[in-house]
Amino acid sequence: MNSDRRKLSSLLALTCIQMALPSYALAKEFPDMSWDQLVPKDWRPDRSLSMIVKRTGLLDDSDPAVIQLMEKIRKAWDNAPTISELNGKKIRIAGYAVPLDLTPEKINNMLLVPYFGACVHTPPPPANQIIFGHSEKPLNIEMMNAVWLSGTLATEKKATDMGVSGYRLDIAKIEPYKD
Amino acid sequence: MTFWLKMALASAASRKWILAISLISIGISSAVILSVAQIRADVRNSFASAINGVDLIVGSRDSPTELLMYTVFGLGQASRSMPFSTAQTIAELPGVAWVIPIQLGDFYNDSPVMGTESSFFKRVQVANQALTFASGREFTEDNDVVIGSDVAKNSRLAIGEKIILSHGTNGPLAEKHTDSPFQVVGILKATGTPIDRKVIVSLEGFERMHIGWELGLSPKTLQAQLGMPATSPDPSETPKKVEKPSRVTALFVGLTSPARVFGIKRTVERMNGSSLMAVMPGVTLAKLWKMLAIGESALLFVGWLTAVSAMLSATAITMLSLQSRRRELAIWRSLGARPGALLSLVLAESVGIMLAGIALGYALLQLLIFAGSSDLRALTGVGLHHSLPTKETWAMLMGLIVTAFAAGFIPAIQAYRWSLQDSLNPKTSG
Amino acid sequence: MSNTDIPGSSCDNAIELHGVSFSWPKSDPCLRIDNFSLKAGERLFIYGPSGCGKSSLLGLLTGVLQAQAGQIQVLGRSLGDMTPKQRDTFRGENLGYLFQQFNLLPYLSAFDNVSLPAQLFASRLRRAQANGSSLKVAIESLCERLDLHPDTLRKQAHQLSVGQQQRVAAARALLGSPPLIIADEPTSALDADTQDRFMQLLLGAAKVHNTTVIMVSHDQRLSRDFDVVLSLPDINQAGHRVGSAP
Repeated sequence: MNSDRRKLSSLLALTCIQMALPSYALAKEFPDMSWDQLVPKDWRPDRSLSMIVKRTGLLDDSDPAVIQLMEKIRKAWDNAPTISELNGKKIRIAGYAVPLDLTPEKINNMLLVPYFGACVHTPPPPANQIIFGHSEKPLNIEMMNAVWLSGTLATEKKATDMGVSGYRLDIAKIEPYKD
Repeated sequence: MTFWLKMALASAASRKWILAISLISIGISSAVILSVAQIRADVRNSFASAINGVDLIVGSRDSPTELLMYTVFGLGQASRSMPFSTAQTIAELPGVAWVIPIQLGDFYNDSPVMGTESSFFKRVQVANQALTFASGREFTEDNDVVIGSDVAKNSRLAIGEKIILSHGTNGPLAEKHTDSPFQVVGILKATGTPIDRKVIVSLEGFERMHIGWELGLSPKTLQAQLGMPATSPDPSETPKKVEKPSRVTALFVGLTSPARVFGIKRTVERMNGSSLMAVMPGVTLAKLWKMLAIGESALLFVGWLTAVSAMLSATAITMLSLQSRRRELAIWRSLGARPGALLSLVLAESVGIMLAGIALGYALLQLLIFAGSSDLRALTGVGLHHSLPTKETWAMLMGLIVTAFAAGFIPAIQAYRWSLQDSLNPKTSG
Repeated sequence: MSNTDIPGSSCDNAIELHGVSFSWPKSDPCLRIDNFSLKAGERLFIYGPSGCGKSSLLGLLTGVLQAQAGQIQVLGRSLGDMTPKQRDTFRGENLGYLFQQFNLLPYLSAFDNVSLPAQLFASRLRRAQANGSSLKVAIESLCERLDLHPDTLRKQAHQLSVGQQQRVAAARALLGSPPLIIADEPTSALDADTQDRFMQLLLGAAKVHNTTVIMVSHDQRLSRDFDVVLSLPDINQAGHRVGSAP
């Protein structure tokens, strides 16, 4: 009788550990990363660009001159450099999900961005702040939901309908973002 | 009369479970109809009382309803802004009494933040009443904030407490203005309109909060993620009083005489290379209301079908039980009761059940209002009221009662006819 | 042994029929009676096969049905001259009626069932309280005479045996001493022993106020204590038609 009880309790303990292991393992396997860590430390855009940025608050968005300037920023940002050492790194990062496929139930491709243009002036982020995410299994996400993405990073540039991404992530797991 | 009422009750009591089912089904369908009528009236009221005293709302060219949505209801957002000078230009137009600029874009939890002048509290009315404070006062300093009654209640805020606002969105990843805490100096009285969920700061406060936030991004993001040089100014360098903003989202305009509204509207819409739009809140709200009304009419139609079918079911049930009551009718006849009295007996029961069902429906409606109104207001800015039934609701109630009588008469008349033609030997045994 | 009186004779007749003809809609007459009368206080037993017009006759006598021709006088009043409302009131005030079965309202107690005539018509209430007693006492003493005890009266109608129900019905019919009682096969649902007992109690109670009793039955064995025993086909000149009355 006693040996049976002992067997049962050790079996129970083992089961508990086994259940906790995956999420613990996952956390270890995909360490958190913040967006600034995707940007090369020495990246400085053209001086004139930073002047433009400073002055955007004073300019009218529909002014054709401003539109030209914004295009200049866009060009520079589409070619923003990435950190080659990050290639192959496993990371977990939070951002806003932008589905790329059209059918809601069969989304395999998406973009992850750190912010989206809620403010009137905000342009889409530079390429080193856009991650193209690909998943073999269809993802169930809604437009602009905040999510945690876990997977393997690759420094691979890709031009999509929604913008130019500087990184690619093979998605292992997607979770909704909770405070 | 009371004798027959007692008899009707005693008779109904012997069928109480079946009648209870009829009662509940009529109650539910009545509740649906009454709810739709009440909500429709309340939505219309909410729309009409959402903002008063403002003759024109000026924003960048968009859809008029969207402009109304984000300026008055705090839903959605503007796609562009206008230079502050526009406000000054419009204020100088003949016929314009006052212009109040507003800035939108930030949030406190789910409540929209609005930057505006202190004259807002004097000029703008809701529910045709001036805005009043439940406690505190208007803002005087850049970091003062005034909050609506719902914000105070839901976030449990009191005068003197400090809050941090989120930038651009109310989502979980939104960047916070941690460098610019605001202090609650005033809490507005509850109005049942969208203003209850607003968080209001001064234009200067709104501006100051965004110093260094170019492109709508925090200084931290600009520096760390976009490689911009550090632009956030040294706190010691920050001027004591901030200049007026360079750009604003929209303007509330009051005219010296309402008759001038079309002329002013035309002038404004030709300014700034025709990039502006001037909207009459009353007119646009009415249009919006009309769009919703179509959907509501469909809902109401379905509700009525449900109610009528519930009443007919109740009638069918009464008719079936009437079959087994033919002997009872013969007994009454033998005792000298007149056919008219028997009609009343059956009518009392059939109509009684329907009226009770309608009353139940009304009670369910009040429960619904009690349970759901605060959530509804948080989501849409529409307030439901416990108050006595509106005209719409009365109309529906009357309609339901008339239908109840009509449906209830069917078995009653059948009873009447049977009592006449059966003599004392009805076709069925007791 | 029917009386063949001259039309328009003495008004101490409970019933008088002259040249009465009755037919159901779209049918030939099922009832044709030239002359018939019954003295007040007498007890009449009517028998005959089914379809001979018994129900029609009862319907005419209670004023629920209208004759197409002829005169029907009940307790000195001509039914044909009354409005429907007056007929209903007349019936309620002056008549007690017994069905073959299911006499009682199932959702009331036995006591409440008995009290119905007094609740519907003030004159019956008055007559019930005639000797200064309350309605409750009047009902209980009437029921005693019919072998019904107060405990039984408290029960719901559906809790009583058939025999008890018939006796309660009899009490209701007799409440307030109406001049005329009409009973339509009141014993047919009872077993043989109960039948005799019921007849004894009913007729005994009726005798107290000299109530006229008319009873219809197919069982001639029960006619023993009746003053007048009548075969309906004997006075009904309409042809026998099986199924002519509904």
